[in-house]
Amino acid sequence: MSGIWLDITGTIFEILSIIIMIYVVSVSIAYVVLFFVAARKLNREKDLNESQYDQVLEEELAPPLSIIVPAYNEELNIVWSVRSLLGINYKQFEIVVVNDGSKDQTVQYLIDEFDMVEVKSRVRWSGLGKPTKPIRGIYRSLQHNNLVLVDKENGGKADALNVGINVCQYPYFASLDGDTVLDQDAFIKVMKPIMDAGPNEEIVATGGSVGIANGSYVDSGYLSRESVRLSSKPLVVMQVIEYLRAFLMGRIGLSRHNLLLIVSGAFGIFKKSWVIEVGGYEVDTVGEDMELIVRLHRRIQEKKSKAQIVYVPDPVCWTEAPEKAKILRRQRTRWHRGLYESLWRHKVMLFNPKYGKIGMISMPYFLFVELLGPVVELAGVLTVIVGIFLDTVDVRITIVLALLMLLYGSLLSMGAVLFEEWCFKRYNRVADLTRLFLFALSETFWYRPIMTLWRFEGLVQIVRRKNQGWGVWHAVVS
Amino acid sequence: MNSMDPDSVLTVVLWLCAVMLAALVALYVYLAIRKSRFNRRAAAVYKLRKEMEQSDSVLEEYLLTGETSRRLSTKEPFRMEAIQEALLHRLSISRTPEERSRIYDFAEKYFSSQYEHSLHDRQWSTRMNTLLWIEQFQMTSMEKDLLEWMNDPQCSEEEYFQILRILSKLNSHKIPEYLKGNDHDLSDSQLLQILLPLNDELQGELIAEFDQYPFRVRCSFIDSLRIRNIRSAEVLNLLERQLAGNDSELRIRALKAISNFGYLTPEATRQLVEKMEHEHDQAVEQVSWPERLMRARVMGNIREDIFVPYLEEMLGDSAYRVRQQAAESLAAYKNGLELLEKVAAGEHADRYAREMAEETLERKQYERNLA
Repeated sequence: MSGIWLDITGTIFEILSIIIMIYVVSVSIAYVVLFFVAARKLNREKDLNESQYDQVLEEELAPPLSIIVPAYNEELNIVWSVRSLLGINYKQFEIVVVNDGSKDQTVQYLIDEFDMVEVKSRVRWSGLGKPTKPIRGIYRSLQHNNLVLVDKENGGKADALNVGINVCQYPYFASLDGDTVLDQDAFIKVMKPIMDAGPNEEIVATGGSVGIANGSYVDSGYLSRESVRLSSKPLVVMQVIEYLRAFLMGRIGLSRHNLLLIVSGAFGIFKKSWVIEVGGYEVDTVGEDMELIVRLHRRIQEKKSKAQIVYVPDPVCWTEAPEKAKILRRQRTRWHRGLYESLWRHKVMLFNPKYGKIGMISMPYFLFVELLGPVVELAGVLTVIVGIFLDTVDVRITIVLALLMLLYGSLLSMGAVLFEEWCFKRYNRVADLTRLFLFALSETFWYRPIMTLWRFEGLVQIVRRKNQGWGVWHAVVS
Repeated sequence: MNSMDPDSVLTVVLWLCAVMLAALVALYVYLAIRKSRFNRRAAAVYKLRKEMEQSDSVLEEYLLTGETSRRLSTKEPFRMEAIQEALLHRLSISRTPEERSRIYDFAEKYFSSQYEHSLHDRQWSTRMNTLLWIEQFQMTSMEKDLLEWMNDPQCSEEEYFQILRILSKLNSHKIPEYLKGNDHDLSDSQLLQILLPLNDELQGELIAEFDQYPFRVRCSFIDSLRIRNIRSAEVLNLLERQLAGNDSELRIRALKAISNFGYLTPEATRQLVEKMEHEHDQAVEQVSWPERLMRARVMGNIREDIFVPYLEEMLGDSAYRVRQQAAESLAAYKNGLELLEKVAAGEHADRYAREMAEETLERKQYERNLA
């Protein structure tokens, strides 16, 4: 009897291992393709002079921009963030701070610091049809004509952004995370594709690269070129590599063919009319930024429009990466749940030729490579272990294949470092380069498995929460 | 996998590993060398640049006297880079036209052969950087090369536009000709970048032949007149002519420019008032809110008593921004604040108008306290 069982298990594992093999090979090819697409673009632009932006900075050529800053219990930072925003290099902009029912002194601090008075007359709404939490009051600064504060009841970040969209008056708006450190020219860099769009082109959203600020010196809200340092913490260095790979390889590759499904939540610019048309941010989701982009893409395809979502490789903002494993874990499981939600909500697009490249390439890519990646990876490890016990897998080949994957992963990471070096030269010491190289080599041994586990955990949470119902979702998220 | 000979699989995979390892190491070595070279060069450039910026340097001497020295050589790339940067910095703070023209002369003399060469470099970014330098140093002698490269099928879109921008800075007569062609695909911002630098002569040409240009060029041209704050009889005449026209986009831009200009001939004032009176009486279809907004702004900047009743009416406009502008404009009149106080006190049928008046008064009060 045991002979038959052994045979069946053997066959199952063989089939499984073939599936995994095919998966690994196709994912590897997908990455190589992304790598070369990005390499072509970045190699063309390497060492380009920064002065290309001078002209556009000088003149009033840039369209007016509304900057929406959602704030929840930010009394420590808010005055300082608003001050640094008021000093950006941009001709015409307004800042709309949306206080999302903070329990601290956020509102009072702003009112005192910027001499804000309540607006009595009716404010012009942008006409976003979606209901939002009630607004308690709208204030305008007497010091700065372009500073507005909206005080509303708590409803989460997406709700705050929706209120901001309603109150702001310009045709483009930027959504900002409270803790983001901006490059002084961030807005001009990200607006450039919009300004250069000819009469027959339309750009719905743009975003730029996000860097990791840990270890660098941030001076009054800005991070200057000379102050960029690579952190000494392994977990942070790994995230630096990860970000480089994600932004310089993944996003450039995808954006080139209008396949991009993510504009960073930390910083993106949107055309307001389009966002209003699709109904603004979705309130009951973890990954509202990705969800919005998918919805915009969906609408673009449904309207058969040629409008585009563009990614600018220039580093435009810096964010503080988690340094503690516990927080990183929470971040990653949350990201994974957000990814799942965005895909699930728009599952009709998957493999649907009606949605063009987005339905046929982007959605499957995010489903199979990003969302299900951890499942396949764990299954792969399991089959190999079981295979070794059943003696259907050659141990030597397993080891060599593992070595191959290790080298392949490191090569991709170094490729991203190469792109960084070509175009931005943010890390200006050879020692930093060497550290990036060594960490890239070590990734497979510790960082990658941990990430796989946490992302898998995110999937488990989805399944568990589903059974519990959606009610508890929100409390956990915010 | 089982069907294959394990040993040969092993060999293949091992070879693959070896190739990747080699690629990885090569990549690292390349990066490290590139980085340290770049750093060394940057340091050398920085040092030389600092030297050049000393008050007794050869470069300073040249800028003062116009006499070049052999020590100002640009033979080595890093020297050229340092001098380029030093000159560029100097341009940005330069006080006298003589100094500027000396800098341009220097660039013509020492950089042009290098630029001619790198204009045909295989690397796109090198060509683009060269164009940026040519633009900064306004190198007239390069015009021929630029025109040639522009018509080359290899020339990328970005370079094409960059060359247009340079030609416009050089006040090339090719620009009006180019703009007249209907087929260009430039964005509004790009059109402005080309229109803004033009000198009086070319600008006069555009004014004289205004109606022959495509619609989008006309719109951007009016904007450029406003941004540059050109105040001449010809410009005013052009703007006032647009007010009488049928196209609302052109009217809006002309109004915006006129409010910046701060003057309207009595004839044009009369026409504007007549138009508003006509719309009021007939209750004919109103013009769009941006046009009403611009009218309110014009009336605030030109301040003719005849405008006051129209502004008071606009305080109750259906569009928020028009109300806001009307209040702002009224406040600019001599007795404007009193008028607003009356409105706030209830002398206006419209509640929105009263609220807006109140809000504007509060702001004006604050501004007065600051002053």
